Amino acid sequence: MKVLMHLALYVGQGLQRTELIAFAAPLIAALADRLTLIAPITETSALVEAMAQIQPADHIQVQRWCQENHFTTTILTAIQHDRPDLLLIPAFGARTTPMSWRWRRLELNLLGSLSIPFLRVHGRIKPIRQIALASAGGAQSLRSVPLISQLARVWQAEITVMHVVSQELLYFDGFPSSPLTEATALRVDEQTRVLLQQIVVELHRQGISARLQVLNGLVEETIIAECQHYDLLVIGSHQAEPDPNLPPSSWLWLLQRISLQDVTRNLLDRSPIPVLVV
Amino acid sequence: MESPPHREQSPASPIVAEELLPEQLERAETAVTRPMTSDPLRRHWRTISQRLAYAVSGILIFVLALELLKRGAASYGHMLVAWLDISSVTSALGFGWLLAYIFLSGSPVAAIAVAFFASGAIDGLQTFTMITGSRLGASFIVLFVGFLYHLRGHRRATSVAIGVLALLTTAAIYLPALALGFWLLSSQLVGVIDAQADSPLSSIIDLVIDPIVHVIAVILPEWSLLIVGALTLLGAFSLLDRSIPDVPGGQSVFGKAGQLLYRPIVMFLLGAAITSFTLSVSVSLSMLVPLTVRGIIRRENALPYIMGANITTFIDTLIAALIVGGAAAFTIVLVEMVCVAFFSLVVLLFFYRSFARAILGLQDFIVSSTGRLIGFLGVMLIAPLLLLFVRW
Repeated sequence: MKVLMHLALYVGQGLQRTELIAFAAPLIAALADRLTLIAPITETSALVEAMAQIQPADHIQVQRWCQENHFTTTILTAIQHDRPDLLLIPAFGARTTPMSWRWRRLELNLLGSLSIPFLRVHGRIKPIRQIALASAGGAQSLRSVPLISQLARVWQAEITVMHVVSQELLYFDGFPSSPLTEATALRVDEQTRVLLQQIVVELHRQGISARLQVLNGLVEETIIAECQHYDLLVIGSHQAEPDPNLPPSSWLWLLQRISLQDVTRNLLDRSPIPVLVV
Repeated sequence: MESPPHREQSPASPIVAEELLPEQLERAETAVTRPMTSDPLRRHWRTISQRLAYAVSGILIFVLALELLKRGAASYGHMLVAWLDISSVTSALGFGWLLAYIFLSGSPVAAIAVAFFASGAIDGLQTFTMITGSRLGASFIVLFVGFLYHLRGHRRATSVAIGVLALLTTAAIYLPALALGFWLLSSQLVGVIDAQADSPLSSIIDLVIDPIVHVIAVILPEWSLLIVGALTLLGAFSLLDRSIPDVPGGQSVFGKAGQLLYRPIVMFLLGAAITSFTLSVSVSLSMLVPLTVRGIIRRENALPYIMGANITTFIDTLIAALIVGGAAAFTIVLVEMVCVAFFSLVVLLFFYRSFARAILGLQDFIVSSTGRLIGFLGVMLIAPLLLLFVRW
């Protein structure tokens, strides 16, 4: 079933602005009933330009957000004001030059503070046919299924639910070519196994072709390496939920939050393909 | 006269001793001999006082062992060193390394090194390299414990691979630290730091330990003091291990922690904190094995943990140096500790990602083939033996 949504698109200057608009246009045509175009106050002409390039259908309610000077504050205020269902943004800083380090840091800090799903269009952009949904086995992955399946339907893409186990198995046992079977890896954690299978079942129910893939290796390195075979990477929002039973104000919650590695940030920083953060 | 009321036995109650398994029998006997403590608070306090008793007796026996070693080393340490021809810094490195294999722990060997230094059997630089050797050998225990876990039916690769990881991480940090520390000590850039075991400890040694050592020295032949000292030292570490609360393990305690990735600095501090509490890198690193086997700690988390543990493991050696070796021995151990901490922090703050990739990649390379693993274990056994005969 097609559910129309409120999309937001940043059309100000960015590294791959042209690619972003080309990427976003079919998505807007297929999914949007509301569209917010965002640009800093210094780039009002970008809004007009983007409108001409996208040419949204008449039924789409278009809104232009042109406030603040800096891209970070422009995006944050637009999001707070409009609360779109999905934000589409380009990459702002290149990873290759040391000069852009500060710029990139600002961008990653912004992405870390976004409270809505966003799709960052950068790196190698191809028609989306293969989607990798990286899941650590948290309930958040399951909650992201409706949005992902909606997008996959538009792109007619297949989804691979990817889970990485960073432990090794089998030793002195003749070393089979594949060191880890799915069943053995998931035997360690029943809860994770159930949840991952639930995600696949749920995607099937939504009419999406999906499969489960369990890999063995270092989490970030393995996901980045696997990205070569996919067109879009889907990951959970910044930092895993430490403990849903703890109130966000408690010191233990804060301690867990500080001590956890921000895998989302690292993947956003290193991914060679567009990333959807849910 | 009325007979007393007859108490009927429940048909289910009679238990014949022969039907019980040995462990059930033991449990039943314990239940009879020990009064049942229904109050959990009382049980809690009893556990705490038991652990305190273990800790206090462990410390006293540790000091006693050091004094025995010092006396034994004064008489026969020179002879042992001459017999094994520990005449160079490399042979001292190999000696410490091999001795840690025999003791399955580095701490007693480091304490022996300090005692040898105090008695004049080895010089400062040899003490420094012998302590380094003891730490390289100590990581072997993790491999050994991993293998024991494998024998007990746990998944094999995880438990053994963590041992390989511990060995590689220790070698990667300790070898450059060895070079830096050796340079600092040999060029005499570091002066002797004036530190002393303060009066309470000195008075305990004077009042309690010295008379016991004197009695033992009178009863036992002089040549046996070194062996008795080493065995007493192992006993002291065993008591200190018992004073540590049980390691919480399993999904029930850690919840979903096993699925989470922690920042390297957090795991580094955790490793350092736990080891400063357990006083032994062997105990602290061995804790990783059950945790990892149960899927609690990821490989990414284990690496910085080992790095942290490798620094605070020197705390007990520092204490031993203060008790038997004085300021010079203390300086040697402190230089070693600072050098290891320096390289660990440099790696953690500037090159952690590439360091982790290299170490974990090497670990993968070693454990992914039986031949390579056997080769690695062979190198680990042969290297200290070869070093023992190097005269440089």
